[in-house]
Amino acid sequence: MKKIILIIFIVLLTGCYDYRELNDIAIISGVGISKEDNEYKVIYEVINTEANKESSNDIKKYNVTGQDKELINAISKANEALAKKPYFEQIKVLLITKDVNILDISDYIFRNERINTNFYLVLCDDIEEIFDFTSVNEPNNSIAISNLIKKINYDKITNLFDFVVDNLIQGYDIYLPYITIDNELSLDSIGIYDNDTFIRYLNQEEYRIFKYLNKVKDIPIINNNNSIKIYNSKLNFDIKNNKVSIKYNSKGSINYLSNEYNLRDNNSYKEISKTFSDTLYQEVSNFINNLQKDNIDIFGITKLYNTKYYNDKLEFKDLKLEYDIKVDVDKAGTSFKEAK
Amino acid sequence: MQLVDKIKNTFNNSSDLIIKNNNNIYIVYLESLCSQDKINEYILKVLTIKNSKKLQDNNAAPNTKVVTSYKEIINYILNGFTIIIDKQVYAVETKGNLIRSVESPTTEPDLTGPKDSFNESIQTNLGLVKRRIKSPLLINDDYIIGRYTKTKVSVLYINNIAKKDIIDNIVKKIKNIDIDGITDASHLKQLISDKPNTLFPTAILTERPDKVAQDLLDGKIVILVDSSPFAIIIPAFFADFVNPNVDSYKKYTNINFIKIIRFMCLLCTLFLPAFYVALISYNQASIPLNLLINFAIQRQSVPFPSYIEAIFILIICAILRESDIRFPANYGSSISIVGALVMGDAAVNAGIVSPIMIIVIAVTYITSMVFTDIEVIYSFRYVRFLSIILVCFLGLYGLYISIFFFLIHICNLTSAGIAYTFPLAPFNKPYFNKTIFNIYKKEDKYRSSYLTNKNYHKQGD
Repeated sequence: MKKIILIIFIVLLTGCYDYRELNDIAIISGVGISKEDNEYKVIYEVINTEANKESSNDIKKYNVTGQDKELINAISKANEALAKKPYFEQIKVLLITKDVNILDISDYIFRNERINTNFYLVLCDDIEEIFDFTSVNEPNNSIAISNLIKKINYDKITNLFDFVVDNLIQGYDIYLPYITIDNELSLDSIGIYDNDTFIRYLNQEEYRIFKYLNKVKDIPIINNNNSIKIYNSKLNFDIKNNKVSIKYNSKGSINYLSNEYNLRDNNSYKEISKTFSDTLYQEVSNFINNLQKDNIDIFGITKLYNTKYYNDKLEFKDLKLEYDIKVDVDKAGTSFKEAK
Repeated sequence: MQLVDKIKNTFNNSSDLIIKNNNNIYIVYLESLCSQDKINEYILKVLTIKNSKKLQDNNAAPNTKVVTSYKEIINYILNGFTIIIDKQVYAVETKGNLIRSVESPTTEPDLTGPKDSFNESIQTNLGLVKRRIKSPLLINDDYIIGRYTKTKVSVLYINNIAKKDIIDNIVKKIKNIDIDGITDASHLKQLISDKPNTLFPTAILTERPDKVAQDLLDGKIVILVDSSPFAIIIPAFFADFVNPNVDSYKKYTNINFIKIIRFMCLLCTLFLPAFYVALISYNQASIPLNLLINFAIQRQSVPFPSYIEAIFILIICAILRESDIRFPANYGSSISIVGALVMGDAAVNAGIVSPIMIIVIAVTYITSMVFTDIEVIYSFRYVRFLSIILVCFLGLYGLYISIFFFLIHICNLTSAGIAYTFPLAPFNKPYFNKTIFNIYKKEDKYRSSYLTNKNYHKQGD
């Protein structure tokens, strides 16, 4: 009898702590935070659960906005604008503009146990424009952005909010995906930060090199009339004798080639590999040297160096860098003859 | 005659008590239990032969006995014998054919294996077992239970395999029964179970003689009850109800896959509704967003909390199932149609339940049909409801509590003194290879040491 009374008390006194029926919650799939006139503007992308799934005319999502000088008040205003209880545990992306300080907003997010921090942190110029956009493929923009990032960084979790903030706290320079609208939502570049201060976006050429170094597959390298694609790569930093050697080993297969190479000859492959290694050497060294001029170390090389030499004064721009770039073009599955 | 009058008085001049007098030889029988043809053939023809001094010698009946006590006379009359009262009293077996023939199993059908099943005659049932185990070491000890029903109960075991302490344990329980009567094996099963208050059955009721024979060979004890088409197999473990031993008729590689599926069915049938309610009411973060959106859209028109919805449909399903069992077979299909209409289309259209809940409950019920023992299905129903109630207070945490409750409960049970979770805890390889997974028949060489302590080898030395 004592046991039964105890069980009843436990159930009645501790039960229903985080009970919320699915009908009573407003599922927020994405949050945007921007700064306008020194005020925080918070926008939620909310899923319209009353929409008919089959009907294409029904609105599948709507936006809710709150604005105030204090972030917490802006969030409260946005929450009040919702007809149901806000539900933050399914957030896919947090969109921010370049003038928002990540560490300022992270404190509130981490302290709130109702917010799941397993979402992507993404840069954009105009959050309202992004959330208002209606895509043909995916009605929910937050899910569409999340899928875009997953596609590019398929084996990376470095863009997740937790990791970005953790890197910032540890003093790393970070980079965030940059979303624009070009007929469709597109991930065109990344924004690079000097610790938590936004510096600039990478141009198209730099972004291409960044993708090589980040193991994004099937990005073509073009040299004159020849092209290969990298299908496997590895980036290492070897620190010896006060020098950092950036080692990039990759394997590529032929996209298309001009007539000058005889593919039945093994020496041709060595020649092709050398040509593309030289091309990539030029591109990678230029890219990293440019970053070094801005003192932005998105690969965390300075931290590795200083840890090895028990030094915390050296900056990225002070490091001596060497490059060892290898592209190995193999002949697996190659057609020896030209199509024409 | 004094004895005839005494019998008349004992039966209170029952209308089916027939007493005939042929040259001062009385024949007494109960018309309702006896075959008139047999009486004519075995008795009346013999009595007409002149100078038939020794009735026992001229009698063609296969079973004729000389009776010495009045108690025996009454007992024989009640068992379908005809009593001949001359200088001596004889009992001639003239039982009428009151039982049905041996038919195919209805509650435990299987694609392979023998197609015969027990019927209501204990003699026939005993014959079906002895036909499979042709050994004098197969012992059947008979007992009579019931002050009024006088039901014959037969305890079967193979003398050089079964453990003596298990036999003694069961026989002791049978001897201790003092009851008006039992009319089915399930009554006896309840009377001899280790823990009567438990949800789970601790003995198997089976109608398959081949299953009985297999279990006897493993060292288990079987009890046959007269007028019941089911045999009781003791001890019985949880694994036996999940994986019946008819699995051994199939190739082990194929059946092992089915056994894994059955285990998944077990988890589904016990905890799927509770798991769904926990996810929908508490832990929505565990559902992928796209799926959550679907759920939310489907549930939008449902005014009830998900646990009320789940309990509501589970009760309707339980009612449907019960009505399906009770109703005559001819009405069965119409019940199914009404059930499907109520459950499927109408309830969703009326906004009482969401379509996803119908799917969850349908999967729960379909997976429960993998298990054939009705007692086990009923006990699963208890666990299912309990887990939903805990989940509606505590979410996924409540589900974990109910899983632990289930595990603790079955760990606490025994069957004939052996742990109910056998052969997993305590682990026993021979029985594990027979129930949880099957191995190649040639490698299945040993009996479990928990069921026998005399004769471990099934094959070879």
